[in-house]
Amino acid sequence: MVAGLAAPLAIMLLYSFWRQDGPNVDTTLTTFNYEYALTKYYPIFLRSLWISGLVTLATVLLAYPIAYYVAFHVKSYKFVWLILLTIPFWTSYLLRVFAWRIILARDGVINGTLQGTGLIDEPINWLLFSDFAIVLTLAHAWAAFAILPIYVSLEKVDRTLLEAGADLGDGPVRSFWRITFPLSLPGVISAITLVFVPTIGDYVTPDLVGGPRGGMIAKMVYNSFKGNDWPLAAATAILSMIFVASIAFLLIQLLRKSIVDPLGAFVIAVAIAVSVYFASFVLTLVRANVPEGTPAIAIVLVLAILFVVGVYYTVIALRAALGRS
Amino acid sequence: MARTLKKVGERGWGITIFAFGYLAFLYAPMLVLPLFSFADQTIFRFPIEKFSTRWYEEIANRPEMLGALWNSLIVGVIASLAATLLGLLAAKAITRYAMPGKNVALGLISMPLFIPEVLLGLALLIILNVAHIPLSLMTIAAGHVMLCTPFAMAVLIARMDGFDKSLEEASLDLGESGWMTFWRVTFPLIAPAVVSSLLLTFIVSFDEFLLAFFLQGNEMTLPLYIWGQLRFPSNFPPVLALGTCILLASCILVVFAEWLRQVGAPKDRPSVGVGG
Repeated sequence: MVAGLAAPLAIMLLYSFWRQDGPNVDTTLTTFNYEYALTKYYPIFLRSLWISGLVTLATVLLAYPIAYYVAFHVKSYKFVWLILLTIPFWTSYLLRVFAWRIILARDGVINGTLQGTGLIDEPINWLLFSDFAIVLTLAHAWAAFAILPIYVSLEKVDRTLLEAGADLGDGPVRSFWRITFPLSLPGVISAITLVFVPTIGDYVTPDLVGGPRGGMIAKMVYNSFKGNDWPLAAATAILSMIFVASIAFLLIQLLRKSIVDPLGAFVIAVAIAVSVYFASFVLTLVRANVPEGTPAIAIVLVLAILFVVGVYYTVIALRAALGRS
Repeated sequence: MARTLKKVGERGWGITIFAFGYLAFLYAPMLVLPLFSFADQTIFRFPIEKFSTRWYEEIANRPEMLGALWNSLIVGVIASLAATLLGLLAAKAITRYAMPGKNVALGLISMPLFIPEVLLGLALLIILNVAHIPLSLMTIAAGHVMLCTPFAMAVLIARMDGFDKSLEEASLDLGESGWMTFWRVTFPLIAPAVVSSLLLTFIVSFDEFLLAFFLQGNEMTLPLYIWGQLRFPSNFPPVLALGTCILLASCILVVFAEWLRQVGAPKDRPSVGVGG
């Protein structure tokens, strides 16, 4: 079983260092595919990151209150609620995405209703074939993956701690932020990982409800594969796996830190966002002026160094601004 | 305790309204599908002007669709049986034996849950190609086994951890062999979890699209057929009619599977569905 899983991945890794040459595969080892994928596809990587980030945020923000409701407010029919919340997840994914198309279309359910009641005269165009549609559809599709882990961690919260908090004079809001929320963070962390990883690799939703430029990482992998360039497809897939894994790792570390030091975690999060923006800005500048033949790996190294330096100085600057040494 | 809960209860209106609003959001697409399957029109326009059951009658006239449905059933049955068997072995190894590298094995088996499906599909396709195995329904089933095993394992481990190990020890002490102990003591105790694992893995396989997309040969599964028809909206209404029937069937299956999983499940570890 273990070998059955490791072998395909190992062969794919090998494939990614080969090169497609017409109908044949040239088995001389080369990093060509990686360089090509990195320089050509990086905007789509960033776009996928942005969309998946929005999806994760929306899903977790919507899922938390519902998990909280079932864990703390529902007394006698918890089991029924949990089944009700999981059923949509088990029904056909393609048909659900198609249903969103019917709901969001120009002459769909929402526009039809709004026009019928006279609230709007012209149909709203941005509902379908937009980033909004992708985020909405994915937030719907992966809801169960966010609700269940958060629910489990909320259910485990020791109720006597809340009682103690109340006895010592904390109001419900304070005791939520100081007791319940920190204790539920492990659930939030697994929810973030469980939603982020599959959505960044999703193929169906961006293709069906996203606009003409709605494609995300999976679309690139599939396109190279359809274009009969399997080594390039393999390299893109491996890059995306490294990309996803490192972001998931970063997120988890950040959330762990936020349990003990929320402000520090916030500072680091801002620093990372600023540095990503800075590095992608430098990349657009550099790409126009780099002499032909510079290995992409050199560009990547420079960017990595810029990124680390960016994070370091932003953290220092932010801390100084916030009055913390 | 009472004081805290009462306080929370008093402020509970907002969150209750939110909870029901969220349910409406979750179920909106699932209500739209049946609604439009009864619409007597080939364009998906709202409001619907006329209702009819003609798309349900049309199902019988689509041999290709029924063939795809049949293929999906075959793949689902194979995948769920194989994944549950593998999951059972893995669960037994993990809960009953001290094994070196246990966590590594657990992590690797669960990996398909954490790597993007497009990557899994491509990796499997490459290795099948290297091994010169022609693509067919069986290659799709093999991919699904890989995807479904972690689900089966999660369900079965929860159950095997839950019951009293001394029952097995008693049976062994009284002279039963390992196999007979498994059949006469362990299996009856975990039977609800086995059935629930079979149902859940069947549903996962039945609905799976992307792996099948990569691993398909000449024959289509139902999701592949649906994907093909999405480009021709005028052909789509019978698909909605069939989809509505399947929706109903899978709701019943899920409720049944979840109910089985809850019956006698250990109370201190509430875990429902996936990722829990």
